[in-house]
Parts: sequence; C-alpha cells; structure tokens
Amino acid sequence: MATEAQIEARNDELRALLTAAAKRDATAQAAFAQLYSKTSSKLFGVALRIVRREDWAEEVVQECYVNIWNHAVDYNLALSAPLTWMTSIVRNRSLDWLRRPNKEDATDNDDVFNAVPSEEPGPLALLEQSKEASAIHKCMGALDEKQKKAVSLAFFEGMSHSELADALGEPLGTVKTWVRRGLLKLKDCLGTGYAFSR
Amino acid sequence: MRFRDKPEMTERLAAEYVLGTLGGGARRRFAAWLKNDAALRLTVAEWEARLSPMAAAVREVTPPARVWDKIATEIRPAVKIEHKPSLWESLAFWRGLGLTASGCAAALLAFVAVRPPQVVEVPKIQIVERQVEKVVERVVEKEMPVRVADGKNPWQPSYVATLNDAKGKTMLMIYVGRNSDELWMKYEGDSMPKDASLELWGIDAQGKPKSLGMIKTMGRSTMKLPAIADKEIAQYKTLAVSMEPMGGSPMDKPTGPVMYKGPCHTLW
Repeated sequence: MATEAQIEARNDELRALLTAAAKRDATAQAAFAQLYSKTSSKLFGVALRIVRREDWAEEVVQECYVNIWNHAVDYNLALSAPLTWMTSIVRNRSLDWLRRPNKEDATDNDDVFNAVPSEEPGPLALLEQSKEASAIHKCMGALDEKQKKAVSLAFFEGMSHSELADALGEPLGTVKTWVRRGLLKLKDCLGTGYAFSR
Repeated sequence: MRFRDKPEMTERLAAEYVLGTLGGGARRRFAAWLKNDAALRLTVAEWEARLSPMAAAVREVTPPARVWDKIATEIRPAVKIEHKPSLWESLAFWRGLGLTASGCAAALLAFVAVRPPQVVEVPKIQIVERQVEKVVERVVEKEMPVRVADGKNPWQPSYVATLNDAKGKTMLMIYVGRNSDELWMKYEGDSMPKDASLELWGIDAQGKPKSLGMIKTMGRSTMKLPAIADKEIAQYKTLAVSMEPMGGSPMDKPTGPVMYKGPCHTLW
C-alpha cells in the first residue's frame, strides 16, 4: 500500500518526466520512455477494461501516448496530478472508441472479460487495498448498492446509460436516476476541494 | 448553449461525461461544447480529479513491446522552434486548457529553452479552485489594502486570477473588486532584463487580446483600469502576460513570448 508521501513522490517524478519530455531536447525521448515504463501497465489496464479487446486497447494506448508526448508542454495548463491527467486522456479515448459509430462487436473476442464482471474480487474490493483511492472508496461505500453498482459498471466497464439498463435489467429512467443520485452523493462526499490523495 | 444557464444540468452532464455513461451522440455533443467553454472544462477537470483515483483499482496489464515500438517511431525529439511574430495569430491556445498545440505553446517552450535553469517548486495542489481559495485567503485576510467605507468593503472579492508560468508555478496574482477600477497584483516572478517589460492582457471569449497595461515586476502593486472591473475585467476569460520591448507591445496584441497566463474567475 502506497503511503501519501510515496504517492506524492511518484507524482513529482511523473511531473518531472513530463516536463523533461516537453523540452524536446536530446534527453526528452529517454524521459518519455521512462514515463511510459512507469505508467503503461496501469493505462493499458484501464483501456483494456473499457474497450475489452487487446488489439483495440493497444491502439488506444499507443494513440494516447503519442498525444501525451505532443501535449506534454500543455500539461501544466491541465492543473491536474500527472496520473489523473494521463488516466483521463486514456479513459476519454477508450470511451470515444467504444462509442464510435459503426463499431464492431467486442464480444467476439471477449473471452477474458464478461459484459457484466463477476463481483469477486471486483474492482471495489481492489479499491480497499489502495491507499491512493481511499477517499473515493470510502465515498463509494456510502452509496446504496444499486447506485454503487451502476456507477462502478459505468466507470470500470465504460457502460452507457442504455448498456447499464440492459446489463442490470432495469428501465433506462431508473438506471439514470441511480447514476445521477450516486454521482451527487459522491460529490457531496468528496467535496469540491481536492485534499484527497491523488 | 442553453444548458449553460442551468448549473445543475451542466454539473450533471460533466459528471456523466467523465463517468462515461453518455451515449455516443450525447458524448460527442458534450465534447464539442467542451472545446469552447473553459468553465465547463474546469467542471470536467474537477470530476476527473474526483473519479480518476478509482482507476487505482484496475488490474495492471503490461502492454506488448510492439506498443512502445510504434510510439517510439512516432515521437520526435529536437523539434526546431522558430520564434515568429505571427505566433500570436494562432489563438486556439488561448481558448483553453485543452489539448491544442499551438504557436503560443511553442513560444512558451522557446522561452523555457533560453531561460537559465532554476529550481521550480511545483505547487502541491494544482487545482485552480484551490489556488483561488488560497489567493482569496491571502488577499482578503492578510494582504488586502484595508479600505472600509460606510461599513461596506469595496474590495469585496470579485475577480481573481492566478497566472502561472509554463511549469505551473504561480507568478502573478491578480485581484480586483467588482466596482473598483484599481487592479491589485502581486508579482512573484523573476526580474526582467533592463530592455524588456511585461504587459498584461485580457483575453475575451473570442480570444481577442486587449492590453491592460504594463506590470511592475516587483512585489505588490496596483494598476488603474480604463473602467471599473464589472465593465472591463468581466469580459475576459483569461489574463495573460507577455514579454515585450520596453514600454509595451508596438501593436495591439502581444509580440513577445507569453510568460504567464491563467483563467479569470468571478467570485460572488
């Protein structure tokens, strides 16, 4: 379990690598390679979980790192912790990929991930083990079961409202309400500040 | 954008965009709004900061080596940067914090390259809101000139901006009461070469710059605005500082590199 000091040290390190990559000098590429080696397993995991096909996840992650390289100089304008910034880029690209018109069906190659994942040991159990995510874990714990399930399926599996309705076997309106109330509770619990660990 | 008039709707859409529940059409429409709305991007960034720690729970999977091989062929070191007067023409940069590479970003980079190395303290909390809170706290509680008249404080917080350098360090804090034409600032950046000066610009929603005057590069100072803040500052989304020849830009736009910039917040 990472302590807060370790998390902060890692963020400082990633920030320094992004800054070094932004310089585009002789050492920039080496710094970027280091950034990749420190973050790619996490980001590939995030992408794979959402797009659910290895070849797609590879493509997403590759595009995202090229993007991160190209925009490393803008990183400071993003005003986020480096891993938050990078994770958001990958999640957004993965979701765009999943939501693109005329996409093939992922389920053909879907032998590892099921549309609705088993609960054990689900991502929420893993959250408990992560100090970094302790605030969000605590707040997720405050949601009622239906809200928690809807929010976590959406976050981890990239399900849209209508996919959630199908997966949970509930009307669209009901599922939308669970998501909306779940998010409102999370906001109340996490607050507008960012004192929680990043 | 009708929904912007409804804060609850904005908040909800931003949260659902980040969570990922917006369907294809809604997601694309929201992404299009996002491009032109800095305030909306801030709301989205807040939600990203709230939710993204959940990604810590995702099982890590090492990507195959071919992924890096492909990336390595696409990233290029040693991009030659030329400083051209037309840099300013590329205004996309001003419109936001988004992922838009531009001439201005290149200008920042060019500047960083010629700047002597220095130790940079990266602020631990880099979220705008928190910075603003801090500034307000410092300004209002500790450093604000006390001007109480008739039991009312004309310096009631109104417009606040923190301008950061390319590394994200706050170099200039700006504060002005909504009914005041006196802009208060605190400069924490480096001193300038003798033949250079720093000019403050307001950038409106269309990305059009307007000079607000030259800033003093030492500690606290004030600057007289052409009109009261509600008429002048209210129209600017972003404040920025460029390095200019002594006395300011010879044109009605910046000609030198952009040193510091930041969003202008309305607080009341």
